[in-house]
Amino acid sequence: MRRRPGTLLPVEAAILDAALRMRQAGDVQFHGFGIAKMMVDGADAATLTAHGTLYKALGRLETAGLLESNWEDADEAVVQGRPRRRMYTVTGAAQLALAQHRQDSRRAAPLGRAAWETP
Amino acid sequence: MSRRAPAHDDEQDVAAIAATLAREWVRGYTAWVGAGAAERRRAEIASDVWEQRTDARERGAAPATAALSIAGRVVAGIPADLLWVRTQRLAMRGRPADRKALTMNTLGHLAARWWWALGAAILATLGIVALFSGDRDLQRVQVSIIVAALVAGIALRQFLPRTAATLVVFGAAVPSLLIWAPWVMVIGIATLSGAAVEAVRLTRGTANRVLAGVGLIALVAAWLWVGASGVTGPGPLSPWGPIVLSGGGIALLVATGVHRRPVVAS
Repeated sequence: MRRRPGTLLPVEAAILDAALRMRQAGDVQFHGFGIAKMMVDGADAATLTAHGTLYKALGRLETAGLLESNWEDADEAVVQGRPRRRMYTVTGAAQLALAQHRQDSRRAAPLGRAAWETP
Repeated sequence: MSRRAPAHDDEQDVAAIAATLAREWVRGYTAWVGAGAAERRRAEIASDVWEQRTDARERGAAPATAALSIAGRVVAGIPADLLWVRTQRLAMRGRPADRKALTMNTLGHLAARWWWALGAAILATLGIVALFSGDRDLQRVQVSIIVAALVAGIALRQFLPRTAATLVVFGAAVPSLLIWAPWVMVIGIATLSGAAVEAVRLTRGTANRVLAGVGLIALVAAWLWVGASGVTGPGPLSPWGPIVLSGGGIALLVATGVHRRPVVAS
């Protein structure tokens, strides 16, 4: 089933939510593992998002214009003795998309057990 | 919170193995996508795995825990990785071949494209050896045709791949089904299947591919008919049966291989 254009998948919403929390904490840019770690901190889940799921979602968000990315300076990575990081930044559109997603989620009718439990 | 003592080298090796597994997996599946996307994904995963190991060390987590987490992230991401490859390949359609991406996994690429040509070479060699063996019962004309088709198929592989694949299907049909030596039949069936898939793959459009498949089956059936019974063998349809079958098969293959050139506006 194809999703409606402009809507976010749960993993994409979680990425944007974590990215915005990082920005509030002062980290304007983030890298893949950094965001995976932040997503675990903000959720009940104890496991990090799978590589395939995470980088596919990051690519989709970038294509949708909700994230921008670029490679960090190679010299910086060499000085610190680690592989070069791909750094991501959330765009202004991301905040709007996340707000819309939250609104849609609240409006959606509860299903299954949630519907049964809802008074 | 107290930190654990630094892990032993053996324990660190476990995390290193998991990191290698992650890098090798990404190296494997990105061999099938364009160079830009492949290099980006490889570099991102290499960075991610390095960061995770460093983070685990800094937190004092056991290397085995980090190794399990890395391996789990690899395995859980496999469906998404494969879907990503498919999306990338669909996006690459119609673009010029990305040589750099192809050479990133040269051996695998060569094996994927040439394995059935190797099977054809083995079958052709067997045929040549049989021709020079002095066997009086050997049907020399038939074996010569098979060898010629296989050699032509190998020679044309680079320049006319669809024609080459069709010739190899034709050449491998008799060794696969009518020579009762198990290993010859196995090589023959593998070669025939690989070449048939290649011939169909190189045909544009689903309907054309189905018709090309039917054409190949007709061609093989005609050749087997001749191989098993001779042109004037038993049955009321001889000799017209094999002729009609092979003619129809060739016509289908030719028709599905012809592409209309787009009309260019003057």
